[in-house]
Amino acid sequence: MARDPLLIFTPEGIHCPEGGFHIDPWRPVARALITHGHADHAREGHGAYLAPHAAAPVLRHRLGDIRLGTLAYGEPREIGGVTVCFHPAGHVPGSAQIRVARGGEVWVVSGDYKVAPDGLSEPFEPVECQHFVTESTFGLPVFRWPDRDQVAAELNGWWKDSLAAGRRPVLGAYALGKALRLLTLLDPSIGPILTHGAVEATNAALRAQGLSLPETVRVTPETDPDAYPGALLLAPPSALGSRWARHFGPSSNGFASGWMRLRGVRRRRAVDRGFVVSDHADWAGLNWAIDQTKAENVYVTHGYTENFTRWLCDKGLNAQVVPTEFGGEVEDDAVTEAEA
Amino acid sequence: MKDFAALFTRLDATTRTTEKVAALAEYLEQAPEDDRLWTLALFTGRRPKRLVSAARLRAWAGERAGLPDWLVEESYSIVGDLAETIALLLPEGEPVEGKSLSHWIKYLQGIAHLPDDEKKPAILDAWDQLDATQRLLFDKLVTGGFRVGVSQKLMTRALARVTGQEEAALAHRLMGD
Repeated sequence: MARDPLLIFTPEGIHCPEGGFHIDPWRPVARALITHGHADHAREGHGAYLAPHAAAPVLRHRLGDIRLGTLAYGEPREIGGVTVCFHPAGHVPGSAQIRVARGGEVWVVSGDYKVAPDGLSEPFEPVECQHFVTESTFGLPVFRWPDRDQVAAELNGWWKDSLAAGRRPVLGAYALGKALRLLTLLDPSIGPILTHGAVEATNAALRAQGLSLPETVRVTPETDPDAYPGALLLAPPSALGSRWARHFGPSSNGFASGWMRLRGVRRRRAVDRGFVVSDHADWAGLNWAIDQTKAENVYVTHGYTENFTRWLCDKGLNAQVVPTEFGGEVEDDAVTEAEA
Repeated sequence: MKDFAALFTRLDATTRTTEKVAALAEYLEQAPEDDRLWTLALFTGRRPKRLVSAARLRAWAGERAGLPDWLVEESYSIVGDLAETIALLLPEGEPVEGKSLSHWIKYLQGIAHLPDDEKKPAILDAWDQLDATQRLLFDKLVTGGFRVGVSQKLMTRALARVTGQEEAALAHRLMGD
């Protein structure tokens, strides 16, 4: 008799019946393996959590006093009759893919991932498997990311141009991951970088674990705007145009997201400048990653799932859409800031 | 085409009237005569005739990018603009310096009388020489759907700034004919 599949998709989330655990579950479970600290993947209320060492500070920062076990990348752990192991996903610092194996049967759950190195996150590591669970946030061929140098030049050019035009550059980006990467692209020789509290809290957690980030100044109610004439403000997207930002005078608003690749989205958001920066793989990245796994079975969890699945099936893979409650990189303002 | 694309990007990047006018005025001041006239014509609604049908252009782009028709179609439905969809789908081009807006308009006029199967290599060849923004503008010239968010009023203000003439007189002349 054939054994049950190693992983199944349940209303609670991705489940391993034999190991008695779930991966990034969205309902409370006894034992959760977590790919990364974003709110749609690491939720409250699980009995016990297991994550990579490098994810621990952010998880504790977000979820408080949880029962958290950690593993190094590449360090196997037996749970029930199965072996689990974390491998870098390149999405944000501390993010992982999770490899689950039983005998010769290997599944990999990618969580969210990005294949181009960003200088901060542990670089994506392809893991061979028969079953690959992938995201497809940007699973359409129109999504192609510019290289780091180009984005850095655009960002710093905008910073200087805004100052020359008498405007304060305010850059909106989600705190965990995106804001950090922008810090590595900004040129501190232009001026100081002022940060919103939500951004600075995450920065502090990551600095504490040894990541090297440029100097930032946290904005407080006492901060005197005139004391930082050449400064750029880095804040969550919800702060663009807010009272917090207006305190600093006329602004030029920039927004960094993969969605900024599309002119319609840029115009709809009515920001002054859009920068194409994403923590997710672009079309070529998704296809490359799937090729590298050599998997014949691909489960597509969120994003342009229907189109991407059809494309994979056309290529001869056994691909299917798996409904999940993961958010990906959400374009909408209404989402909580950790979700993208 | 590089300068015209830069103008388009600047106009697109701001919602402020003063900045749009400044961008237009700066462009008009330094653009060569031919480009200046074509820019005026395009921005005041004198669009070139459609050279190739949208469906044909979409099919060529899919072929060039190695993508099936259905996926090009789905991409178009997400992006919402055909010229932009094509610009984003095609492999990165190698922008050629020194080929102006008027160069490409004359290029298109030169192939207008050809049958579609002879237009095709000319269009594919042009795509390879343009970056994504330049391609978007080029595609809009090809499909005859050139519309940019510049009102006649903005154009008049920019022209008045560059030429030192009265806005009212310029507006009258722009609208005439």
